[in-house]
Amino acid sequence: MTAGIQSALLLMVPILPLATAGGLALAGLFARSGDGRLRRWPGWVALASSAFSLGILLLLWGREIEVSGEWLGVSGLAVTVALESTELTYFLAVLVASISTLVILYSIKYMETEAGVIRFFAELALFVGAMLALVLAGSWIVLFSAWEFVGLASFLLIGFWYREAASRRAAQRAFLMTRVADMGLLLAWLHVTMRLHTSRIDAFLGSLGTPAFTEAELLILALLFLLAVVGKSAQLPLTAWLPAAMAGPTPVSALIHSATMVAAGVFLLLRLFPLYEASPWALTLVLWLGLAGAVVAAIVATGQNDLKRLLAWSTISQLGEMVFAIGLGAPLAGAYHLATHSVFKSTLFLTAGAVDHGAGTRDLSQLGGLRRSMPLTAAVFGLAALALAGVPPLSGFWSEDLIVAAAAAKHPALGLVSVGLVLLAGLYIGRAGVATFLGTRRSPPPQEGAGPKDPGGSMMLAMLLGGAAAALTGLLLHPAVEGLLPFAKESGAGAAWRIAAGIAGLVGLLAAWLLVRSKGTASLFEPLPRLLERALEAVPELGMRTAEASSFPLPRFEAALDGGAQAARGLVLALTGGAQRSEAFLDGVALAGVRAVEGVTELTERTESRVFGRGGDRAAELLSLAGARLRPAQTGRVYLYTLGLFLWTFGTAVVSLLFWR
Amino acid sequence: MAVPLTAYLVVAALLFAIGVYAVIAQRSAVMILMGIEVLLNAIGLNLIAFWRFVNPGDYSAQIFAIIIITVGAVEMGIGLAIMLLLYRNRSSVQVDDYAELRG
Amino acid sequence: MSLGEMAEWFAFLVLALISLAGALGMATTMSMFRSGIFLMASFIGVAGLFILLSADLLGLLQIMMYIGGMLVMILFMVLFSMDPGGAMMADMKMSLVERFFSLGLSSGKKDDGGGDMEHGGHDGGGMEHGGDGGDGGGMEHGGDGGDGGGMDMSMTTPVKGWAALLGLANGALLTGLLLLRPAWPESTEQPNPDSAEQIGNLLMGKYMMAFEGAGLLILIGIFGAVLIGRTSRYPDDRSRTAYVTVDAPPPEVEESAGDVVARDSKEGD
Repeated sequence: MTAGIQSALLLMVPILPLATAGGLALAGLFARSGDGRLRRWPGWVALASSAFSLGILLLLWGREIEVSGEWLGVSGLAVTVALESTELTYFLAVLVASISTLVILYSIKYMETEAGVIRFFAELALFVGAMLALVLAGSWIVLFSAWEFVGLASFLLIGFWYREAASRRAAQRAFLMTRVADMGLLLAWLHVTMRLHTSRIDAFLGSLGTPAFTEAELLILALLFLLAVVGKSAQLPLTAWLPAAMAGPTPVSALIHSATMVAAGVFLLLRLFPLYEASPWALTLVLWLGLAGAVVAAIVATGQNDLKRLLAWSTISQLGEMVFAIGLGAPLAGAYHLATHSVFKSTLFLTAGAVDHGAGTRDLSQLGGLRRSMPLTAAVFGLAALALAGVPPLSGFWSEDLIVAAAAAKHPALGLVSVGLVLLAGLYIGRAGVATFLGTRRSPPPQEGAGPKDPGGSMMLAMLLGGAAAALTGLLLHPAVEGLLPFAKESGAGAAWRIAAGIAGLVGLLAAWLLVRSKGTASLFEPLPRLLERALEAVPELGMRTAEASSFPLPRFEAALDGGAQAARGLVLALTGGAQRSEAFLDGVALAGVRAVEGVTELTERTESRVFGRGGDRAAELLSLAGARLRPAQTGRVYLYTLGLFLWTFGTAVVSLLFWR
Repeated sequence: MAVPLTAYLVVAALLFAIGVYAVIAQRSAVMILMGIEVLLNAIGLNLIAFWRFVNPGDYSAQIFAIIIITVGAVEMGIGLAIMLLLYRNRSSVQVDDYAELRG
Repeated sequence: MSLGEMAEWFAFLVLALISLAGALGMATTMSMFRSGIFLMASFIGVAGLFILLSADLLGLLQIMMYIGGMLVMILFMVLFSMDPGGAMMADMKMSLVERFFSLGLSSGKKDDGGGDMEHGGHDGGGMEHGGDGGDGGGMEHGGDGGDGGGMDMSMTTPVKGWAALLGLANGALLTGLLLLRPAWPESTEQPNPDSAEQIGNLLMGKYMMAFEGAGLLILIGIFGAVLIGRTSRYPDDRSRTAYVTVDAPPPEVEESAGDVVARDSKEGD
């Protein structure tokens, strides 16, 4: 394979889904929706494009490829457009492409009864293309535009059911919150580009050892990038948009809001890890931010009753764990957990969607006993949940093991907290699983025959594939992960910690089982989760309120003015009442005065009419006469005007010549 | 440069004079626009001639000429649109048919 | 004089002749269509002069913009006019230059078409705006000889004589000044033969704002032209197209109204 072909193939990877998105959007203009036979083709087209991208990526296995071209070169500033496939970017691209393929496969069946399928798949393909461009980006400008496109696709997909107010609001909120955070990315990359005169990312990473940037500058850059990470990965304090984003269709939640887009923030941290290494303060901040996010979100997750919202909070918690791992200086653990989490969390979402379709609700307090009617779904959910709880040898175990080891190596207290996180994970996912699939159906009471059923077709296929991947990813990746990623393995802590981590998840699951059996679906740590959730939701609410308040000062101002005017009016009325009485008295006095003045007026009037009146008449006559004389000069004929203009110019020129010298 | 600067300037001056004649003497608005184009051409020729002979190192004069061409194009577009409108209303583009501003 | 210099002089003279003769023909011919073609010749001549002045890019730009763009618009507009070919005018009284540039325009139908127009003074007949010559009092038209009166089909305005005089005076003044002027501070520097690159650099660097401004101007020009020129979907909706009012007598003013009011107020006192 020559270099040219390799470059072309790499370019194809993001362009294929993007072109598909454009084509579908065009087709959507002409296609009639609602035709039963044709409802599935957009899904198959999107699936094909995503699968092709995945195939191309697999074809490029183990090669370092770079495609770059200079887009603009303005006075020493080179704006390049580049895609590069290095170890890290290749790893994530494969991850994104495979999960996208899985989720699109699932959506074909899931979305078949919805209106607007073409739009859905066009937006989904747009997302896949933008996400692939994001992870493969080799220059800031590609990274940033892909970052924004991903945000746009997320906005469109959250608001897919745009006729519902809740969806619209959730979409707007998500867009606004991520937008605020994106400002950090924009400022940071613009600064870097202006400084280094090139928009290559590796040029920036290469300049870190050199004195190109001062330490304070690096710290500010790191904080700005961190702002973008916080927004995209829904870390504290910008978390609330992610649970709200669950208003979108479930495949979207699975793909964007658990596995890929929210992971983009963590990806950015990994991509820029040398920057954070060079700026220890920022790294410390990353650590505590991640830890706080993980703990708070995990606690909130234990109190959720909506299956999807529970999973969303769990996602925030897991992302916090990844950020925490990176903050510990263990990027390998973070990247590894990113991969395994993507797999099992998207699988969990897929099963949640199946439950939603099958049982008609995702409220834990109404579900229960689905194990009998939906055995395959229950099995897949169980596998993924065990993986999330870090039960060996499923995928979650291996990555969480690394995180716990790194944390314990840093400080035993951190190790304890991370073990606690695993325990909490087991607790909330165990609560969800037990409440959904074990026991008996709470509401409505179970009936014979017409119960919920396992989904069929592509949904089932995708779920089974996801379940298998959730089970096996860790096992398969573990021996090779060090070779796949550009980070070194940290010296882990002792075996005791690993055993503790392995057991903690099981303990959590067990505790959840016991609790649900004894207490039903009541929340565990009440009222802590609810309070925390409220507090976190207050953050954007506050922002939006402030924005609304500051954007409508006029009505209030006006109301205040109205009030003032009313008060003034009352005052004037009162004064008038008093004045009327005194006026009657004054009238008498005035009448006498008037008589006197009238005499004077008579005299004045006579003088005026003779002197001023006639004088005025004369002046007016003069003016109108002059007007009448001048009127013909305004002929309304353009040529006379132009003639006059040029004659005047000519005359001026001649006269000024005469006086020259 | 065998041809002196003055020769070019004389050509430009004569072009300008012809343009002036056309702008004043023509009745049709289209013809007046053509006259204006000739005027603009004369100015452009002046600019370029001075550039070539006085300061050929600085290309700013050509930028000015380009801007003049641009403005001329826009003026032409707007002028023709106005004419189209007038024609639609009164079937005539003779400027002395429009004497509403007569005093 | 070397061969190269002779060639340069020759080129200059030919191009100057083309541009001047083209402009003159544009200004004087009776056919509007022919005017357009003469204008094209003039543009080409000026473009040639540009190239002779080693501003090659501008020469090409001149041809492409003026001829490719504007002249097409003009010719399109010319076809709207009453008599683009000028056949009706061909038999009128003309000056020498006009006669020269209008050679061969005669329609040959001197008796029915042109003759009627020329002597249209007796009646405008079926023509709708037959009366428009009279509204200015007819006095401006009086000086133009044969075609004065009701039916004014002339290509030129009544002040043609003045215009010619002014043009001649203008040309004479400018030419005289130029010939009398002492030498200009000429530079012997040779311009960079790659003018396109220089201009491109200037446009994208020093004159970026002017460049962007020109772009914005064109955009707004396009908007304006579309806005002005589009037809209204509703024929009688006056808010959509500018409406040109037709002369109407002003309403009668009551002479004594002011007096009456004044008297009333006095009596009420």
